[in-house]
Amino acid sequence: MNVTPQDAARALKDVDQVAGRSSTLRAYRAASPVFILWGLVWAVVNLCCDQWPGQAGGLWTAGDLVGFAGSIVIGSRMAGPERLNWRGVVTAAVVMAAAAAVVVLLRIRAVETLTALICLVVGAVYMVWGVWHGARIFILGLIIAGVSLAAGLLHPPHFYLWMAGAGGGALIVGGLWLRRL
Amino acid sequence: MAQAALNLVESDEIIHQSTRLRLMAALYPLPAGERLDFKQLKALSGATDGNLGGHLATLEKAGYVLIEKDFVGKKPRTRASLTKDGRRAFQRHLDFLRDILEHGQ
Repeated sequence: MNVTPQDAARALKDVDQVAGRSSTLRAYRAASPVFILWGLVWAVVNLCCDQWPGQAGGLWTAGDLVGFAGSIVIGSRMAGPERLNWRGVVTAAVVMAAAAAVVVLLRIRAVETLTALICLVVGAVYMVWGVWHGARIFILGLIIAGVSLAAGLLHPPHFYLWMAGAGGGALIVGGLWLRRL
Repeated sequence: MAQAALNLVESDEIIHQSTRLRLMAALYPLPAGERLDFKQLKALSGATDGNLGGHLATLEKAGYVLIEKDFVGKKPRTRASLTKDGRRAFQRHLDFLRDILEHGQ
């Protein structure tokens, strides 16, 4: 087979592009149900916090546990238990533990500020994830961080409804966007 | 010496065809047993509906991909994955291409 160096270079460039895109789409397929799950958690918990603001701490603890457990179940269904992404699980556990430590250390009393801070950190984590695994995840993280920062700085009159709609909604719509080819 | 080096690495005319090369490249990053469906393969390879099936059949006949057909509800679904032979053959072909770049012709 007669292949010139130019043909070889073109073919290898093609391979890199297609393989890279395949890897990115695979990351999106894995992330999509997790984003949708967390969007539902954000929406439900924030709606409940709007009704019972004094229970925000307990509501978020319960919501985080549901989200975390659900993410592990989704991950193991997609990959199979022998290929469970233990690094992903540990990363999520570390982020949640660090967030809990920040809550304790800073002794922030204003629950809304605390909520916005933790959601801002989550958005930043998604942005870092997106740097390595795809632009769409980065963009979603940027939107979540922006929504949370705006909520924390501007304290809109219906803070929890804002977080449920804008934050939870962005995660759900974003998760569906990740499924598109 | 360049010719001798090239002879150590085999070329693969089945894989080298541009659409089949892109199909193999799309499947290569996936872990063993993971599959892509027709729609995903079409989007990644740029193949048309008409020729995607033909190229996949060629790769299947060579033993490089495994084609699985089932139904999701009432909709038929076709999915493909790389076989072990396919993965090895693709890697050998990449080595062949890199050797050409390194040693010229």
